[in-house]
Amino acid sequence: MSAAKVRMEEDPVEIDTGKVTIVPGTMTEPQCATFCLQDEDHTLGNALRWTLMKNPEVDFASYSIPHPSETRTNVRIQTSDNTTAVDAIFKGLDDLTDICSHVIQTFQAELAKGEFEYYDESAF
Amino acid sequence: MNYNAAQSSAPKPPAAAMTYICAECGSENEIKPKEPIRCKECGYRIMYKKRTKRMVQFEAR
Amino acid sequence: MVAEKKNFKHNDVETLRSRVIVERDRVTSTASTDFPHNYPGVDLAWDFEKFKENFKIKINRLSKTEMEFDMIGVDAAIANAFRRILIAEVPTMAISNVFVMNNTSVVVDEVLAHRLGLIPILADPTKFDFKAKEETPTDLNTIVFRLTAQCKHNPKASSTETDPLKKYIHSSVYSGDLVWDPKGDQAERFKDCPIKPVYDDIVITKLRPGQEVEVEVHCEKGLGQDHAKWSPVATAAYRLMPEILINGEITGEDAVKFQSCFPEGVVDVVVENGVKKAVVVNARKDTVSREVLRHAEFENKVKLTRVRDHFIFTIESVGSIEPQDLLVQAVQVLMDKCAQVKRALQATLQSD
Repeated sequence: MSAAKVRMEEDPVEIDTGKVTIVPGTMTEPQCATFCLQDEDHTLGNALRWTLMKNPEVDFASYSIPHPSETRTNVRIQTSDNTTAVDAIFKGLDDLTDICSHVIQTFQAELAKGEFEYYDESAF
Repeated sequence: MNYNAAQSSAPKPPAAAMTYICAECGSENEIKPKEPIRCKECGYRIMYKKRTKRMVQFEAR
Repeated sequence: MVAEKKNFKHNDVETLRSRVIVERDRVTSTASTDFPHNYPGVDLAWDFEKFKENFKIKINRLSKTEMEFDMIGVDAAIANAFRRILIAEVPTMAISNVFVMNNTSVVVDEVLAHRLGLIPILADPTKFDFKAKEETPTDLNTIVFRLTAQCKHNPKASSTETDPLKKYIHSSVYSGDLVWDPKGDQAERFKDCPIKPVYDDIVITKLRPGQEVEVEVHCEKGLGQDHAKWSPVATAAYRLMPEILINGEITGEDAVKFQSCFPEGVVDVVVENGVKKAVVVNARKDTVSREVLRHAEFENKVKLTRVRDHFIFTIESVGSIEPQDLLVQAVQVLMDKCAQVKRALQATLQSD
């Protein structure tokens, strides 16, 4: 019934360094980089792109899946001089996490209120 | 060269009777090699082989 | 008298930003544009406090397997991430291996195995681990069921009986015939909610006298992106809230015609000072068939849009996880992804 019950999928001790890499040659200066996310798709790619674009210091943010049969996503970030691409992606991830935790909170508050029609379709 | 040397030198197993299932009446029939294929119960001439008794593993996909 | 022909402000920033515009032959203003620097003088930078103010969830209806709710104040990128995770990335338990000891039914082994795989299993996936292909099955990653059925003539049936269900015993094998075989401490761990198929009346195969089925099946934890049998939902979908805007008034017989262009309950015809007048009462019920836009008399009098950040979400669970838990778990999966990427990137930066 609660979020606490949901188990973290990955082992928190073991960190796979191959999960996120910076594509070689794309970070010509700290303000730009292309990050390669292994085993991620539009789900995270597009959501992260949106939070990145919401950052006024980000000049350019986009994602692409270079090949349909490879399960990886590239995220390209270019920022103003006030920040760096690495800081921008961290902020993007933090903002996305904030959204998620607020969605869970709001949903559980709404569920607790019980102001909805509960119906039983066992009659089928 | 005889690649089957090992096999041919082994003692021949006795002509084992195989059990088949009649397609008409479902009864089990023991039929030895060279015997006519004919159900002893109903005379029907179509027989089914029995399913393997070995466990078979499948992926449920 | 062009000035009198009041047009909708088609290109005002607020409409373009917050509405998808439905025209007769096309849909325009589809992409979200509410990003900083996009509109001069409008600050659209990310503001968590502002987001919290605007964000709303309203549950409309809920049952054991279905939930409809409105999610207002997020972008499609976020809503779509939730939808995609619901379909493909919330883990469940499903039959993954079938060991056939005997199967003389008309359904061949491969098909029988496939049918077994699709049966939803009522077991809490959070209490199990993922099993890697080379890993050995343990009580922490595998659930075992046995299925044995033999069909016989029913001695009590009359000789003229034609219904196989009465004429024979066990003429149909149902999902309810799967018997859970607890391993290790599973019997103790799941004594409050014994593991079983969600539905007991799913036909797996049919039998006739003399035929039998004897199989053992192993369930594993998995994700819908691997195989649809692990998807916890029959469907998870959203649509945008429809909006019908009337310019001026639609009166008289036109009002009746206007009403007939929409599904029942969308438009009401009210009588004001003896004049019939069309009023939009419930745009939510509209299917956005665009029928109104086909009639010349309504040209420039009606505008159809959809509210870009108002999602009407429907989650239809397959039965193994209740829909209200599904949403929470899906959002949690997205949070886990963020955390995982963050940690991995930190590790990568340190190793460089």
